[in-house]
Amino acid sequence: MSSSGAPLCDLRPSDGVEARLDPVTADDGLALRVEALGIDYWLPRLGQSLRAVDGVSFDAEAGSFVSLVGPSGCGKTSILNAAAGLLTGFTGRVIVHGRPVTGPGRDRALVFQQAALLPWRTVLGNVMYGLECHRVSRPEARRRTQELIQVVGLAGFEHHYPHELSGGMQQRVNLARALAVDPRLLLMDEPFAALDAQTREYMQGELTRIWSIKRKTVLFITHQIDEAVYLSDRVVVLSARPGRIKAIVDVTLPRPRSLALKRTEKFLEFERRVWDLIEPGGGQPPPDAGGAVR
Amino acid sequence: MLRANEERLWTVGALTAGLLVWEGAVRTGVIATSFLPAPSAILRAAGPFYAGAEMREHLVASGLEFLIGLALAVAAGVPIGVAIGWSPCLDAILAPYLAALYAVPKLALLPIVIVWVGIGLWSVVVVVFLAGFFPIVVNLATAVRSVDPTLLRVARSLQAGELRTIWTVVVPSSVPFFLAGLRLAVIGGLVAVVVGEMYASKAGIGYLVAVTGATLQVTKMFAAVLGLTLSGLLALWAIDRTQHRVERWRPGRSA
Amino acid sequence: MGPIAGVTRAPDPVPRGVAVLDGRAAGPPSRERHWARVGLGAASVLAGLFLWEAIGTLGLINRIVLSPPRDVAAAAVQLVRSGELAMHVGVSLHELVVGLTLAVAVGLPMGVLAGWFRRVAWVLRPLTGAFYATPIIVFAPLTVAWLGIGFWDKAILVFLEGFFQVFVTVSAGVRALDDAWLRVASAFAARPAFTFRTVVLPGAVPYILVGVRLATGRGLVTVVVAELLASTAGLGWMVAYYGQTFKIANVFVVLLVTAGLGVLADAGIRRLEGHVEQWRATV
Repeated sequence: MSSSGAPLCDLRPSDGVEARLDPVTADDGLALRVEALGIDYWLPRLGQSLRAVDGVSFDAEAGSFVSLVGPSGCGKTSILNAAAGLLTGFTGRVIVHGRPVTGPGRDRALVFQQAALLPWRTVLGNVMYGLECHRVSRPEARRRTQELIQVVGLAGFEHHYPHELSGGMQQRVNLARALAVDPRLLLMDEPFAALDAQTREYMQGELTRIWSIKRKTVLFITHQIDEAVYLSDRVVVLSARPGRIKAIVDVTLPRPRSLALKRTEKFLEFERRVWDLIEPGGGQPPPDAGGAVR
Repeated sequence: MLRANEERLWTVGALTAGLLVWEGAVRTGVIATSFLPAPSAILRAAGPFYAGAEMREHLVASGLEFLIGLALAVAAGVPIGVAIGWSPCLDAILAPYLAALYAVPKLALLPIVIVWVGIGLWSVVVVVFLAGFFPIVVNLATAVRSVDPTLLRVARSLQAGELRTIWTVVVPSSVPFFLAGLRLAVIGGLVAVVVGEMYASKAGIGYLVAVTGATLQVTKMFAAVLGLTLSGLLALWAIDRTQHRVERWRPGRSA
Repeated sequence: MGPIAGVTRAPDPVPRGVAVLDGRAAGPPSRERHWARVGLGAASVLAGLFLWEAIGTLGLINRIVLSPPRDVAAAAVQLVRSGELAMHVGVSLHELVVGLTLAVAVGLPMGVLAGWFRRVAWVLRPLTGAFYATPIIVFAPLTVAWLGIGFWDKAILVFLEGFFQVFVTVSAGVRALDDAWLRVASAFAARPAFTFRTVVLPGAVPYILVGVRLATGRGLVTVVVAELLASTAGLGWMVAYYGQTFKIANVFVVLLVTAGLGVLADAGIRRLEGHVEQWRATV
């Protein structure tokens, strides 16, 4: 199997194509609001509680792309799981489109890091899975599935099994499944981490293209700074455990963004800025480092 | 490739040589025919034996006992196995009973079964059921415990209820384990049919083997045993074919 | 620099709950959960015994047929006191041990040969392939026809059953011996006997033990069932006799003893396998 499938369209800025925003209710326009989120885990063997996330607050406007970056263990995945409703028992609030999160819901969909595809189902079956769970009618489900398979660039692979697909293609299926249930908030947990560098870069471009067609609010977790800056409107930088907000950087690069943008001076400047926030040079703790050094 | 051919040559050669030696030994009187009949005699007897109406009745009786017992084992074993694997609470409650019954040879329960159910078809069915029940329950419980947790999380994130999760994730994931358990159940079930009939029935292949053995109709007895072995191999082959078809989605097994 | 990860802080006005992931108790099984399971199991068994006794005492099912725990206990005491149980256990064990000894005596060297010389394995394939999966007990009427009802018809069945288990596991073990080890031995120009003692034997012993364990388990079942079908003594005979004379309590006692023997043998050999692992490291 060839590595990632042929691109369906060039990644040049397409002038005159308006990004289609999903209709949003007239609340405060904030798709996501995280307020003073605190997450503690209990370690039975040590008899201690571990503070994974400490008082994190940030917002995401409807239709915007927000990334969470930070060192390992800073609680990025925990925050995502809290927003998804998979993690309960946290302090603070997570509000999605005006409603506080208490459990999984139809307005949010998750794209996992590992191949979270049902191996015994074809591509078609996998994309349909979310729709089945949400009990969408058959004809509607089929229509959406076919549309999304086109959008993510997997036309012709409907009847393939996951093991016959490359890593990049599997992630496209993941994405299609998440988009099929028409969520308002798309939560992505390092979806490209398991891909090789080239495929990863390519998939970043693909994600931007797909996102321009199916505009959702996205909360994206990654370790790679360039990926975060390239994809997002806003980058939230977290500190090491316990995770606190170090800084929030609004990436004002123009859209649509092609991969070539990654080599421009403006882009590199943003990248440098985020890097400096994570690893300040000179060994001096930055003034807004959050928790005190103990 | 060469190695595989050589291997086949040796195996087939040894088999042929063995049969020839066997045939020769009986023909020349080294082995008495009452002790061990010649392969040719067995095959010759097998023909009319299997074609006869008598045989058909026995085959039907055994076949029925086997299939009914196996069907019951699957019908009971699958839900119980899934329930045990899914709920650690239920597992803790039932584990002691299953462990105790596992250690007892199921066929040794025959006399008790007969006291409770009576001699005949149903006592054999019960023993076949017991023999098949355990491998299926144990394998299915293991299967449920080994479901990929990521897939469970996917189902949860899509708000799939418990039943839907079990049906769409746990069950398909457990099929290979189930088939492995089914293989063991088939083997155990066949033994149960034969021994059960030997002990407690007046019909069936097992009964036939016992009667021909006791009356020293050794040729017929071997013919019966041969038929038994062949049906066992057939059943296992059928399961292997099913396994192949069902596991098309496994890596490395496409089409 | 940066906060020290993971250490619990001093008490803090902000209330803290404990995060739960995936809706179920997250994390590795804790000590408490292990004991809870044991407790639940024990409670379940006690409840079962109680129910069993109650049904029998209340006469809901004929007491003789049901055989509640008290009757089983009484029968056990009687069988042990009279020495009857010990005698029959002796008979069965005798058949088992003789059969197993033969199985190992024949199966072990043949297994080593088959593992070492590929051609030997190929020649024996028709036999082993056909009979490895077949439960040998189906040949019981045959052995009875040949040898009459008694000791040897059972012992032969145990021998056959055990032989295949030992043969298959040992030949697989010898074949799986790491080629590298053997090359090291030959590089040092070791004599075959030395190689055998220091490389082949230690390498194969775990497999031998597994084969013996399987042979013992299946052998015990074979003995009991063969005795059930046709015998004059032994555990299987007890089951048949007391079953036919409706002394179900005795039957339960024998079944418990059989299960117990099987578990003991299995656990004992597993223990031995553990010790051998340590010995292997020192050879």
